[in-house]
Amino acid sequence: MDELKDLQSLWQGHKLDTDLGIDANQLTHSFIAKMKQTEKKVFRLNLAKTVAISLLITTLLLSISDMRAPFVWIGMGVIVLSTLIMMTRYWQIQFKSTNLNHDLPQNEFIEDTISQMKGAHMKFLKLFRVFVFFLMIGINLLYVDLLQALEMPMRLLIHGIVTNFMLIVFLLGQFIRRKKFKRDFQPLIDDLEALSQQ
Amino acid sequence: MSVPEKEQKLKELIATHKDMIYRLCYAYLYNKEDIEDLFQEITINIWNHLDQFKGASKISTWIYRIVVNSALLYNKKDKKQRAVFSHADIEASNTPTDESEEYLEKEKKIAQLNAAINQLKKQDRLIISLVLEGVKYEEIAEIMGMTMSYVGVKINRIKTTLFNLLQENSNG
Repeated sequence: MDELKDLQSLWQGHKLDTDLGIDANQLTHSFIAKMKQTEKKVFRLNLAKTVAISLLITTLLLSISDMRAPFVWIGMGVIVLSTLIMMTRYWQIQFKSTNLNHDLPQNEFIEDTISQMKGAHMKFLKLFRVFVFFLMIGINLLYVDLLQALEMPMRLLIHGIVTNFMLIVFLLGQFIRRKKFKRDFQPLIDDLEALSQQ
Repeated sequence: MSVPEKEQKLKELIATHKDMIYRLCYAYLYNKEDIEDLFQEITINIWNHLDQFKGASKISTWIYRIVVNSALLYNKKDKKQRAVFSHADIEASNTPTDESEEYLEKEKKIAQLNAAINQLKKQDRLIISLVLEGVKYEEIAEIMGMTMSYVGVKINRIKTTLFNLLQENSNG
């Protein structure tokens, strides 16, 4: 007991800021300045993204504005809408360390962190699947009108190529995403799971 | 809470709890840059959750939770720092203002204690540093989300391991 008390007094008497030469006030000030800078940067970045997407949609709509082909319009509508939904949902569901509940008791924090990491990954995979599916529909609808002048076998061949190309892009995207998750998050999840079982 | 109020509150909290935060960081990492890095991460997490503090627990308990949870996820540079450090390392990183025999003896003991803590498991390091901070068992149970009896058993086991390690290190 006395030994523990000795260790406690030794430990509590250790003033690391003076011993290690760390200036807490300066660190806090620099953090607040950085935080303000980051908030401004995030705002500018979101603004730039919104402008870029708006420009892209306007350009797409202008490029088909004089076409009198209903499937082109419907197809483009499906593509634009699914892209917008995909981007908005992606921003919402992506894993952010700022969303972690650091003030939870540690056991709950561990469970919550694991579920947030796994949840964001699974949600993305589902979202990506739905997005590619609608993209396939949109592009194929677009080609229904664009390929009207061609013979049916050729039209079917092009539809087949486009659909398969989209499938390859989907599989590749899913593969990269899984690999990235395994590299960036799985070690941390394994660590946390091991801790929760202790 | 307005931003200036939040800034003021953060500064007050850091000023009051900085020593405790540093010591907990130190139980986890020992390199000065990493401690500063983790300290900043803790500050960010306190800032992000400041609005959510409703006073359901003591402010110190709330801060301890943020500190231990932030330390738990701080593993980016931790892996290469796992080697047990020696008194020589401490001397190299410190800038002592007092070189008296008493001061050096105290520093040596702290280095031995940290070396022993560093040999414990990740979660045990955090728990023992809370014990060394003088945090009560009920509060540790609240911070860790464990039952009081489980915390008691765990702490006894960690203390035994720590004392054994201190003994081994001083003999070896």
